[in-house]
Amino acid sequence: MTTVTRTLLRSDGWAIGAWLLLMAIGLAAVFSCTVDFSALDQVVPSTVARSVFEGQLLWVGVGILAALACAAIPYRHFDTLAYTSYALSLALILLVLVLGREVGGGRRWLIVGGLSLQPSELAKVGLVLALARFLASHGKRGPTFLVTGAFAILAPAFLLVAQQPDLGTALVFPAIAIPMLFWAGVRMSFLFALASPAFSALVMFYSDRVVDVIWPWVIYVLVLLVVLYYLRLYLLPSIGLAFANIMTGLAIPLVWEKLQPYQQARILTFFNPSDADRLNYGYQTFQSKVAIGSGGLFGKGFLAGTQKGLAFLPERHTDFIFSVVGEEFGLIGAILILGLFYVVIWRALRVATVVRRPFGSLVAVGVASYFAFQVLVNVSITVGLLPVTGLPLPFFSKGGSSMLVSCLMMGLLFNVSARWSDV
Amino acid sequence: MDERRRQWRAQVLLALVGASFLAVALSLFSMQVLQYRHFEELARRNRQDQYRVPAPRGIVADRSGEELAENVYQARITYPRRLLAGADSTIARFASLLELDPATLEQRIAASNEPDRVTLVRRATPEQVAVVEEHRLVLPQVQVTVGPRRSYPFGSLAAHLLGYLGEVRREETESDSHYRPGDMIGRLGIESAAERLLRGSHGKRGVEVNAAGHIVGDVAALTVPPLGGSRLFLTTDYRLQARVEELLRGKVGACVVMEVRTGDLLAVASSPTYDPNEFVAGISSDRMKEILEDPDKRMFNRAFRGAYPPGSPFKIITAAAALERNRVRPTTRFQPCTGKYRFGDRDFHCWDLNGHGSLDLEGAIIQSCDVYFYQLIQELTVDELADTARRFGLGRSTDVEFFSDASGLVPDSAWYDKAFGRRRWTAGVKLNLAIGQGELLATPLQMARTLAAVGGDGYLYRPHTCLVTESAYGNRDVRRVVRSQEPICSERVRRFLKRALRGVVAEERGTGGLARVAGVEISGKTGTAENSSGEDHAWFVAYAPSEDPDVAVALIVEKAGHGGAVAAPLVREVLDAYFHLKRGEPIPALGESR
Repeated sequence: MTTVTRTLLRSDGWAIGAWLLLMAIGLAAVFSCTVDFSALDQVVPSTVARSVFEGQLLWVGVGILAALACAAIPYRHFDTLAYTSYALSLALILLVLVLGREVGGGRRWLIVGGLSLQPSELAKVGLVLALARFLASHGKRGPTFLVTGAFAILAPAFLLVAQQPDLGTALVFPAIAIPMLFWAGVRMSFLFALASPAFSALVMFYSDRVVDVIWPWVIYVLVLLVVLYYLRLYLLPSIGLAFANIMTGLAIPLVWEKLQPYQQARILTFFNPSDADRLNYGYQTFQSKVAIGSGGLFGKGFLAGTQKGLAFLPERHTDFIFSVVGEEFGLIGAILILGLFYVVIWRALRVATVVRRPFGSLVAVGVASYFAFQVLVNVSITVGLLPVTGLPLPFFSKGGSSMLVSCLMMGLLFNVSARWSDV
Repeated sequence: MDERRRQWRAQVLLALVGASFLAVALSLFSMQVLQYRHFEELARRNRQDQYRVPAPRGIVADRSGEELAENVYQARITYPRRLLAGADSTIARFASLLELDPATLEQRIAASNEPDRVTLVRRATPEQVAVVEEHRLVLPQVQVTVGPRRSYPFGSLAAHLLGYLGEVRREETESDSHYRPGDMIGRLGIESAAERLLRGSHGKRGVEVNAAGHIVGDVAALTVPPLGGSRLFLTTDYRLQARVEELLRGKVGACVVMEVRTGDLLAVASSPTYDPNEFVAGISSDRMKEILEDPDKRMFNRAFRGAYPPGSPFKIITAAAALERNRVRPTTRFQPCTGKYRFGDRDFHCWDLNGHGSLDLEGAIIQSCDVYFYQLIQELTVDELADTARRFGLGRSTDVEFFSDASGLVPDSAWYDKAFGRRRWTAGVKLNLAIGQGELLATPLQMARTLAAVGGDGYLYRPHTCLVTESAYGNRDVRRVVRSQEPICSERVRRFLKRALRGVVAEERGTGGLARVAGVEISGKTGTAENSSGEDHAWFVAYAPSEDPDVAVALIVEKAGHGGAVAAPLVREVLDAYFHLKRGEPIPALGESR
């Protein structure tokens, strides 16, 4: 116990404060979802049961304990166990593939003694540790080696999760890896070139008809070639990259065929929104925007959201919980929450700057990347800036796995910040 | 690692994250502050929905107010279309609770094109409604709605006048916003002709709903009460109509009973007939096929659209044409009838092969002597006959209100020139025309109107089917009696015709003796129209009382034989019933009237 207390006292106060506040507001938001005003006159049974809140309360408890435990054990032990923990989480994903329960069109859940866990969430912690270890121990090698190695490490997780199918979660893995690579010394321009196939894919997605996009895509590839020339990369990587871009562009129509119909529809709706979609795949985004927009500057007040109260918001206690917050607490509340997340990211990078051990520093960057990606993507979806994909908002969205992993990430951060001077 | 380098990288990352957060924050600002009104309005409307409240269709009653087409309130069980995709388990549970065949139910759902709520059960029994209400919690969004359904309490009574309702076609929903797929629209008869009067205008019910489609409350500002359709009082008397239909049952034919002084149609019957209720309930395609392929064409309104050779009643017109032009006098006698008449190289027979002997014009009408008219027509041209026939209302539509009737055919020389070629036809056609045969065609409606004019004041009246239209606001619109500008013939000729027609029924040798009714003097004319495709059609046209008639009747029975033997007794029953009603007495059962 004394270790825990000592660790917390020495770790970053800003981060602890922001963490506790976020969890408190998150709990309040989940509670708000279970209150259905129209249910008061017995007309409508609440569609989100009270037990959801009770379950979330339990998970907050579990999360705090996990964070404390994670903070207490000196992080150099994590360094030694990094690859093992990552491998374990991969094994769990595999297990889900074999035994998992199908929920909402995908196999993602593992039911263990009444607790349902998403191993793909746990793999995020495993990846942060594994990448930190890899990059810390090969810090002197060139960028090509680091990038290749990092992507070789995240590839199994990415592929396993992407075919679950859970594209949203799968994208977290490269999103964690790229800032860590940058931190390890890989140049920004190199990373841009690396990410270029993704842009290439994005251009291709702009329409479902290949003829519509083939010219924008050709132009994009030409621009990329110019960029590559300025980067003055070696010939071989340059050719490789150009080739990767062209292949991605060509492969997209094939991948498109492989996507689930609901995924296709969501992507198309995002790029071509129309009123007709409001009742179908654009429905969630539309309703979420209405909820947030109608919240105004100060919000409708805690528990008083009408969009949520009348159950218009789909998934309102999970992926779309930010719209409940936006509706009830308004712009002020939404900015406050974004600010608290920003504090967490800012402190994590601050810790990463001062920590002596490269492993610890990289873990902190990984933690920052995780929160930055989760928060930005989730909130962007609720305000309609990104197509709908199932990605939880840390500390807010109902669900044990997300809460546990976010708390473990915080635990890692506390751990590193308390032992910043360790060598 | 170099601390300064780390600091720089941290700043780069923080700047990137900060810029992204700023973008999100700006978008929040735009939505929550700049577009606040827009989204606030959307949120409000999100909770509000408008349901259509169907207008009750106007009731159609007979002239006494007896309802022939009414609305019964029928429970329907519906499910919101937009939730269908994920409703398999609910639908399956619904089917098992109501003991419906899941496959049939699925078919119905798949076939439905209703836009917002799909009908699961169109005519729900009280038991089915009770089951749904009891299982509200396990059947979310399954809704019981009560709405008007058309019903014809007398079944097939006046079916050809009333018409029926059928489901709207896609084109109709597209061209008229009043209709939505699944709605009913008038087909045939008054239901179709007076659709715009009957349908009213739909109302709206504004409600506050949640996403599940549950109604949480009403919104007065969005609520508009429906305006019911107009109530129509037909000119028909349902008791007389029932009697006429009873008389025609089992026969193929038609009957029109018309009020002489107004043109009101008191009964319009066409046999065989159909039950419009069958269509409203949603008719199976097999049954529809059966009805449409029926050789007796029960949907066909013979009274208005059946064009028959008029036969002997046309002799009234032939006689009038000759008298009006002073080609004959009532006392004119031609060669005595020997049962046949030789014209050119061909024998034309009289219906009585024994011959009628020597007759004057009145006698020829009374005994319906064909040979007399073969000789009389020699005094007239085809065009003169056609002209008189048109003045008597044949060969053109009667302009009956709400319906489109057949105009029949009155051939003239131009018509023959066109049909057979110039000079390719001979004066021989006249002989057939003189006795109402040949190419002549007339509808029972035309014949009734002509008889009404002969017996009445000598003018043709526009036939009416609808006596009073009463709007939902209570405005009453009574039909206007419309009379032709020209009389059918001179008073002198008409008086002669009336005398002759009285004789047809009253005189011992008259062909219409079987039409006699106790206490009322009847005038009429029999007809036995030759029919190229089988046995003769039996006609009887009449008006009564003879002196100053109230009512005119035309009745035809297809392929039934002699008019005097078959049609006259039926008309007697019709007139007997009419005069009972006129005296305020109930109609006696058939066979008890004498």
